Order: sequence, then structure tokens, then C-alpha cells
Amino acid sequence: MNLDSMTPEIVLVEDNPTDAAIFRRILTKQYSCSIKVIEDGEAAVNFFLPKCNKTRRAIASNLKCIFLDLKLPKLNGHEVLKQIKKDDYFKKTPIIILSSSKEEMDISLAYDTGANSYIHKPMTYEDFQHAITNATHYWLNLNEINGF
Amino acid sequence: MELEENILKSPQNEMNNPFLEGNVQGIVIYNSQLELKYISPSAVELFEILDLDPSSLSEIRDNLTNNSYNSAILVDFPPLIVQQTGKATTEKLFQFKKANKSHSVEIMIGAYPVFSKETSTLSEIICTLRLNQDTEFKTTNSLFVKEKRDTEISTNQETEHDFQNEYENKFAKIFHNSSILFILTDFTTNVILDVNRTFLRATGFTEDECMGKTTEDLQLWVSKKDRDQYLSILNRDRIVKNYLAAFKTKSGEVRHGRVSAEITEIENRTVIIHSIDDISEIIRNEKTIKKNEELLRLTGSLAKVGGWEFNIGTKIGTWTEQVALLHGMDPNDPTNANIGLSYYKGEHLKKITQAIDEAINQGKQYDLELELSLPSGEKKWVRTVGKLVEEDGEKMLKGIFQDITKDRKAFEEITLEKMKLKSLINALPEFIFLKDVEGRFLLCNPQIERLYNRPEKEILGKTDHELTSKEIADGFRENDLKALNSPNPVKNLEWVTFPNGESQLLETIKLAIKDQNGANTGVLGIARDITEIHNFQEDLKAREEIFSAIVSQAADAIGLISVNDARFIEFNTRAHEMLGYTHDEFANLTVADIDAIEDKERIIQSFKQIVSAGKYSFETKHKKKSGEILQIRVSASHVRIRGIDYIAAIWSDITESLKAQEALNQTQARLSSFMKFVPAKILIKDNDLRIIYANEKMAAYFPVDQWIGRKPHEAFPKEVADEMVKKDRQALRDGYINYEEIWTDINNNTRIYNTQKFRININNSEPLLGAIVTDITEKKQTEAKIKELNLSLEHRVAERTSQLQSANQELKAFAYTVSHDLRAPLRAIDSFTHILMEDYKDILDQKGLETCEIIKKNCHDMGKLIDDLLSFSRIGRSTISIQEIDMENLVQHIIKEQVVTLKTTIPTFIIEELPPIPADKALIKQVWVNLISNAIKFSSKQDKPLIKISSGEDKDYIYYSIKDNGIGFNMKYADKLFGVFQRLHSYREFEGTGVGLAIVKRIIKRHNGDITATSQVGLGTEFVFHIPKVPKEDDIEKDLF
Repeated sequence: MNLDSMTPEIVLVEDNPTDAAIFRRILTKQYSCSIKVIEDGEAAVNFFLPKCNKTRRAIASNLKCIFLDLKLPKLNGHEVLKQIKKDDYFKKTPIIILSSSKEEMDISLAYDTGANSYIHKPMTYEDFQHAITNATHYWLNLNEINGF
Repeated sequence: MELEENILKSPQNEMNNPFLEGNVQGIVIYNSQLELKYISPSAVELFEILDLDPSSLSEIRDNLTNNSYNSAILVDFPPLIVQQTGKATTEKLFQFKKANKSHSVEIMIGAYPVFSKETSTLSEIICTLRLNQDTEFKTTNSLFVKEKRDTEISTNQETEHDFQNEYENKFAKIFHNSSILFILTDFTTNVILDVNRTFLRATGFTEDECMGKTTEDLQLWVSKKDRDQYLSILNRDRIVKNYLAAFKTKSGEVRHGRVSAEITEIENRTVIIHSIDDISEIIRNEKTIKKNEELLRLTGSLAKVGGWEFNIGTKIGTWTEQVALLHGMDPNDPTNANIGLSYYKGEHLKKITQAIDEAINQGKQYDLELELSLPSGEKKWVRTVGKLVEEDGEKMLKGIFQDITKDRKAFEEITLEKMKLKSLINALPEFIFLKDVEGRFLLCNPQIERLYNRPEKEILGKTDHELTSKEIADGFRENDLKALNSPNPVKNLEWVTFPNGESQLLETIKLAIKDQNGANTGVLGIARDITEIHNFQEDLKAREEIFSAIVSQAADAIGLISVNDARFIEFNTRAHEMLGYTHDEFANLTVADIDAIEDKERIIQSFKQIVSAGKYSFETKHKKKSGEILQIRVSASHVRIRGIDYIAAIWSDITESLKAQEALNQTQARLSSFMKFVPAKILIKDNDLRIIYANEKMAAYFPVDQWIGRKPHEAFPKEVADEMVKKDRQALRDGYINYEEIWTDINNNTRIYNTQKFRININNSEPLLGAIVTDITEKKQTEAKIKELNLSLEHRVAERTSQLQSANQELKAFAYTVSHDLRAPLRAIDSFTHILMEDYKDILDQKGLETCEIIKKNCHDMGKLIDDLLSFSRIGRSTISIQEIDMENLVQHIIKEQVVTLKTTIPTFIIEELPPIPADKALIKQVWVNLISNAIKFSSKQDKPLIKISSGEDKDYIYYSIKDNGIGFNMKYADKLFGVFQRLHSYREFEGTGVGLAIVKRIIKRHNGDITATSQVGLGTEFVFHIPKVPKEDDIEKDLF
């Protein structure tokens, strides 16, 4: 089964391909799950919230968590977060903000809108690896524990 | 009176009345109303002849013709004149026209008044009537005889019989009543045939004694020779006229008469009619007349009365001696009467010419008083009376002339005197009046007119009660009555009020005026205004009181000193008290006793100098009774009272005042030194704003010489002075003012001055005005420059601020970019280097791996640097939230965190008590993290690293200190310590971005605190930061970097 054709278990909304590549490497080294990378906010919304409820439910049910950058082309991360969290199907989908911003404003706004975690993109590969692994581990395991 | 009695008692004896003389023919007595009271029988006869009723005066008057030729004055019936004038008239000749149409009857009439004894009023008028005996009666007589003869002729005519009888009756009446003596004798026998009653009355014979006798028988003729001659004439001429002869009465009395006779035929008998006109009276009268004429002439000359007449027809005038004398002419020199008119001049000539014209043409009598101008230049006043008289068919102007120069002069003098008196009374300042006993004004002067505000004519005849209020009038009347009842003049003081409201005090002297009998006739009053005198006396009294009060209360000693012996004649209380003497003790002292310098001789000597100089002021010393010496100033002057020389002296103790003066002089000296050297220009003005002082500095710049002693308006132009006075007054009122003004000084420099004016209060005196004038031109210029600069600065600041704001915006954007875009490639480099090392570790040799490590190391440092910078930037912009921080706990916690990851020697920490503080916990934590990590880092190379953390209080702050025993730094770089990217040590020695302390400083600053560092190289560094106990308002934009 083609992983890409399947509805993904983890989605990364990230416009920077380098970061996306590093992210994918870190995750794939530890988990064998389907990962989808979406490069802009609009595309993300279109992917998560298709008109067809069935499709939407299908995506939502298969999705384990979403990593969302804030600084995105077309539609920024806050807006994407807001729209996804509004949808009933994605209410319980963990959304982890992965941003370079340490701004108080960004952090508090993200949590207020419904983000489940906020990860400041670390500078080094090692730190990045720790942060992603920990977060993914936490949310995936939590899902499993709670029967998501 | 006697006369009247005689007349009334024996009216019939009038002939014998010695007053009436023998020739009085009749008496008529009228009462004062001219009613007939008595008429004598002969008067009855006379009126009968005149055919007039004696009681009808109007009838008598109407029958008077132009009569008098002696005097033109008395034209009326004398009793009427008496009734009018009350004076006797002289006997005047009157003609009556009624008695006989062809012949006038002339009667001398006189009258005189009789006054009542009791009332002194006219009671009766006695009128005497006398037939004029000068009349040519013979003519009448002969006519009468002729008529008689005619009558006899006509008797033969039967038709005229009745008329003849009546005529004979009338003849008989005239025959018997005539005043002529008639004798009818027979021509041949000379026997007396008939005589009339007049004859009988005159001769005293009876009719029987005469009848049948001859005149010889009766011895009528005094001289036989006269009789013979008379008869011979008669025989020869058959008529005798006016043969003057003497004859005898029965009693032998000799009388004179003019005898006329005519031989005529009566009843066929040749008879002689003798008529004797008894002229004894005439002869006697002639003598009397002569005497009277002489008397008249004398009287005329004495009374300077003359008579004149002027025949209008002939133009011949005559005048008496007196008239001639009046005109200054020779009385014997016949002169044309026309000359008389040439003596009148001007209006007098006009008057007399008109009067004469009217007298001639209209029969008007004139009576004038005129001035006569004599050729000699002498002037005389005359009274001239003239009247036209018709005399024997000729028109005569007759008149009298009287010299009234003396009367006139007397009149003028009296008038003048009266005028003088009147003017005197009018001119007197006194009030003068005369009132009758009833209080009516008889006389008053203008002062009285002023008092009553009425002219004299409205005052005279009125009483005070009619002229003023009852109250005042009662007072006047009371005093008038007092004077009337007193034998002496009465003096009163009366307050009067004038109509204009002014009041005067009058001193009035009132005096009763009495007649000869001592009865009051009026009150004379003289009043003078003594208001001023009264006021003056009051003033004087008051002044005396004031003066004595002043003298006795005077603070100075006052005394009157005798020049002769230097004794105190008069002195006040202060004089003896000043030296500690009693009044009586002092009275016995001389000037020498109290003077501490001069002896008696020299004092008296100096007195003489004062006397000659008049006034002298000097200073001396007086000795008190106690021996104490006083400094005395004396002002002495010479006075002469009742011929004796005195010194009037006023002296005062100036001991204290000299001391005060000395003190003042010192103050003055000090002050004037200050004034001289003080840089300000100073002026002092008195309370009238007169400039009285200017200091040297002022004088150096302004023409104060022209200002001193002058008021602003006397020294400056009006606009300047007006403003100056306004400011001066304001300063005097408010105590202080301060303003700027512009003056041009004597060097023609216009400068700006700050002027301070202030009131200088002086005890017991009027305040002065002080002015301090400071040149503030430079200051003003500097101020202007600063102001200008400030303006441009503000502008620049605004510009700068706006630049900063945009820079800030850019920085924000930059920080965001850095955090996202700068970190991403770093992460990429680091991550892919890591991937390279991981994925190609078999291929890479040792050197390659090391190179990758170097890359990673640099990426890591750069990331750290970016993080620090972002952090630093964030601290400047983020809001801080204050909360109470448990500092001890915080510090302990951080040390634990730090120590955990520490790879070097763990330092020894000494942590003292750290009080809590209200602050932003996250930021303060960052402070501690940075400081503690710093301390650890820099002490890490010591054998025994030691870090001591302590605290303390400093006023409103709590300070915290962290001290290490590290390498320290040179204090000359201390100012660079807290700068961004400032590193005092090489990166090789100590790692670090150089942003840590900058962050610390910014955080402390944001808490309105402060941080300092002290260090010694090799011994360690101590950081101390202060944070206020009470957090202050944070200014986020204060310091961005």
C-alpha cells in the first residue's frame, strides 16, 4: 500500500522543505507511519476540510496528529488552526504547533485557538530530534491509551 | 387873642380900636371854614355900596378885578389866602367891578388869622376893609352933582317923576352916607341950609346947632383969612376946587380938608354946595406912608427884594434900587429893562423868556427861581415873580425880584449836608436805623436793606414784624422797648440771619430819641457786625488753651529767661523735670546753675548777643541735679515784652539722639559703601516719588543729576512719567513689584533692565520707594537663544522619535525575520551536517568528521547568539507582570539547575538571606540565571571557586549582590560591561555571546532599578542590583537598547 495515497496518520504543514525533510527523517527513523507534508495554509485547509463529510471523517479518523508551522504562505498557521479546530471531526485531533517564533503573542494565541502543544523549533538536529520524538511519542501514545 | 376879644366885645368901637386906626371902615370876621361870623355896621354899608353879599365869598372873588399894583403875589381875596397859608396878608388894594359900571370902587383889604389857644389851629380870620381915600372922589362928587342937576331938570318932566323920586332917595342916601362932608348954604345969607350926617359926625355938631347958622357962627374956619379968600374965589369964579383949609370941630379939634364949592340953583334959590374932603387922615397917612415907604425900602434892601414894572406899550421899565443893586448897577442910572434879560444864560434865559411871553400873551403869572449871571462873572440866585397888570388901559408887566442866593446857598448847603449825611449813613458798615415808638422804620441804611433784602422805600413805615419772622422781630422789639425805657443807650448782642442764610452777630446800640418835653419819639439804632470779632475772640480763647496745652505738654523744655539776671521767668514742666528739679527749685535757678560749660558772666554776655542777633541756635551741656551731664540743643530768640528784654528758649535733651545719630552715621557709612560697590543701579524716592538718592552705578549710566529732587513729571516726558508713577504707586501699595523695561543710557545704549521696586517702611514716617535696576540684556539674549534652540530641539526630537518609532518597527520585523528565517538555514546546516556525519560516517575520515563537528559548533553558537538577541529585544518590548518573588527560593532553584549541567568544578555558594521583592518573575529569573552563570563561568578557573549572594536595603530599594572570586576585570572597561556584544574576555577564554549582561541591565532598568559592577582583576567581581520596594510605572519605550 502506497503510504502517500493512504490518508496520512501524521500531517506536517510546513513551507520550508529543508525543515520538512529533517522532520520526515526524524519521524521515519522511529515510526513507520504515513506522513503527509502540506506546504501552505490554504492547501492544508483544503486537505483537512473537504466538502465531502465522508472524506473528512475518513481523514480525521485516520489522522494521529498534525504538526503545524505558523508562518505559512497564503493562510497562516493561526488561521489554519482555527479552521481545523472548528470542525467537529478534527476536534480531538492533536495539533502541535512547530514554530521558530518564541513570541508570547504567538504562543498564547495558538493555545487559545486550540493548539495542543507548542514546540519552538530547536536549532540543532539533536534538539529537534528530541522535541519531535517526545511530542509524537506523547500524543501517539496518548491516543492509544485513550482509545483514539 | 386880645384883639379878637376887643372886637367881639365892642364891635361898634372899631373906630377907636387902636389897632385898626381911624381909617378902618369895616371888619368882617370869618371862621376857619370862611363862614361869616361877624360883620361890623360900616362893613355892611361898604358891601351895600358894592352891592355884594359879604357871606358869599365866591361872589366877592368873582367881582375882583386885576387889582394889586404893588404886589402880584396876592391875587386872591385875602381871607382865602389866610385860610390857605395861615399867615397874615398885608393890606392890598382891590377893585370891584360890580359896584359901578363906569367907576371902579377900590377898597383896601387885609386879613389876618386868629389861632385857637387850646388846639393852635386856625379858628378865625379877621378881614379889614377900608375905602381907598386916594381915589378922586371929587370927580365922582361933581358928577354926582351934575347928575343931580340933570335930575332936577328932569323933574320938570312929568314922565320922569317916579324916577326923580327914586333918584332923590338915592341922592339922599349917598348924601348922608358919603364920606365927604356936605354943607348947603344960602348964597346971599350964608346961612346953613343943610348938612349931611358925615359932617355932623366929623364936626360933632348936631343938625339943630347948624341950621340957620353961618359957618362963621359955628367957628368952623380956623382962619378967617382962609374963609374970606375962599369966598372971594367963589364969588369971582362961582366955583372953588380943592381949597385946602383947616377947620375946627365943635370940640375945637383942628382938621384939614380940601374944600370944594359950587354956586348952584336949587328950587329957585341960589345956594352954595360946599364939600369938605377930610384929608386929615391923608396928611397923617402921607406921613405914615412916607415912613412905611422908607421902611419898605429898608426891608427890601434887607430882604434883597425889589420891585419892577415894564410898560409893554412904551417898552419903558422901572425898577427899585434893590433890583438895580441886585444886577450890580447904579440905582440912579436909568437903564433899559431889556438889559435885565441879558443877565440870564442858557436854560435860565429860556425859562424867563418863555415865562414873560406867557405872562404877556396868556396873562399867566410866573414865579421862578433862576440863576443870574452878572457881567462881573458873579452868579446870583433870584426869585422873580411877574404878572401882567392892566393899569389905566396900559399893559404893564409887574413883578418882584428877590436875591435868594443866600437861601439857595443855604438850601444847597443843607441839601449837600443832607446828602453827605445820607451818604455817610449809607457808607457806614454799621446798621443804622431810626424807628418811631411803634417800631416803624423812619430811616434805614443799605445794611438794613441787605438784612431785609428790600429797598429802603419798602422798609420805611414798616415794623420788624412785617419784615421778618416773628421770633426775630420779637427779639428786636424787646430790645427797642428796653432802649425806650432806659435813660441811657442800651447795648445788645443780636444774632441775625440774612436772606442768603449767612448769620452775623450784631452789637447793637439803641437809644431813645426824645422831644423837648422828654417824651419818646423813637429809637435810634446803630449795629455793627462783630461776628469776626466774636469769632476772633473765640479763636483767641481756643488758641490760648491750645497754646498752654502745647507748652505744658511739650516734649521740649520751653522757658522765658530774663536777660538781666538769667533767671527763668516762665518755664514748662519739661524744663525742670529734664534736670530732675521740682518746679519751685527750678524757679530759683539761673541759667548758669544748670549750664555745665558757661559761667554766669559769659551767659549774660551771650544773652546780649542773642538780643542783638534776634535768634540763635546752639548746643551746650546741662548738668542735672544728680550731676549727670546732658547734651542739649537750644533754640533761643530775643523777645521784648513791655520794654523788658527776655530770651525765649526751647531746648531739648539730645544725648540719646546724638548716640542714635552716631549709630546712624555708621549704618549710613556701611550702607553707602555697599551702595557704591553693588553692581545694581539703585534709586530711592520719597513718598511723593521725588528722586532723593541714586547710587554711583546709577549715576554712571544715567543723568541722575537732572533727576535728583524732582518728581517723575518734572524729570521725564509725560508718557514715561505716567507709566513710572503708575509703577511707583503700585510698589508703594503692594510692597513689591518686578518688571522689565527698556532704557537708553547716557552712552546711548538701549538696554533691557529688570526693575524691582519696593516700599521701604520707616517707623513713624512716610515710606520711601526703593528701586533696583539690573541690566538683563545678555540674559534676555541668552534666553531667547535657548528658547530658539529648544524649539528646534523639540522639532528634532519629534523627528528623531518618529525615526526611532519606524526603526523600532523595523527592528520588530527584523527580530521576527531573524527568529524564523535566520534560524531555519542554521538548523538546516546543523541538521544536514548531522545527517552527513550519520549517513556517511563510514566514508568520512577523521578529518572530515572533525570538520563537520566544527560546522555544527558554529551553527550552535550562532543559534545561541540569535536567541540571545531575540531575547534582549523581547525584554525591551514585552509587558512586565509584577508579582511577589521569593528570591531565596528562586536563587536556590537556579543554582541547582546550573550546577546540574556543570562540567567544571562546582563552586561554593554562600547564600545569605534574600528578602522577597515585587517584580516580573520570569525576567528576574533571567537576571539571576545570567549573573549566576556568569559568576560560575568566570570563577571556574579558580581552584576554589566561591560565589556569595547577599542583599540589603537602601532607602526605597532592596539590593542584591552576587560576588565571585573569579578573574575580575579592569574597572576602566566598566562602562562597557553592560553593552550589547561587549566582551571583556576573549571567546577562547570564556564562552558567551556578550548579550547576557545587556539583558540583565535592561531587565533591571525595566524595573526602575539599577545595576553596578565592581571588580578587581584576579580577585573577583561583584554585581549589585537595586530594585524598588514599591514597583514604579514602567516605561516600555524608554530604552530600546
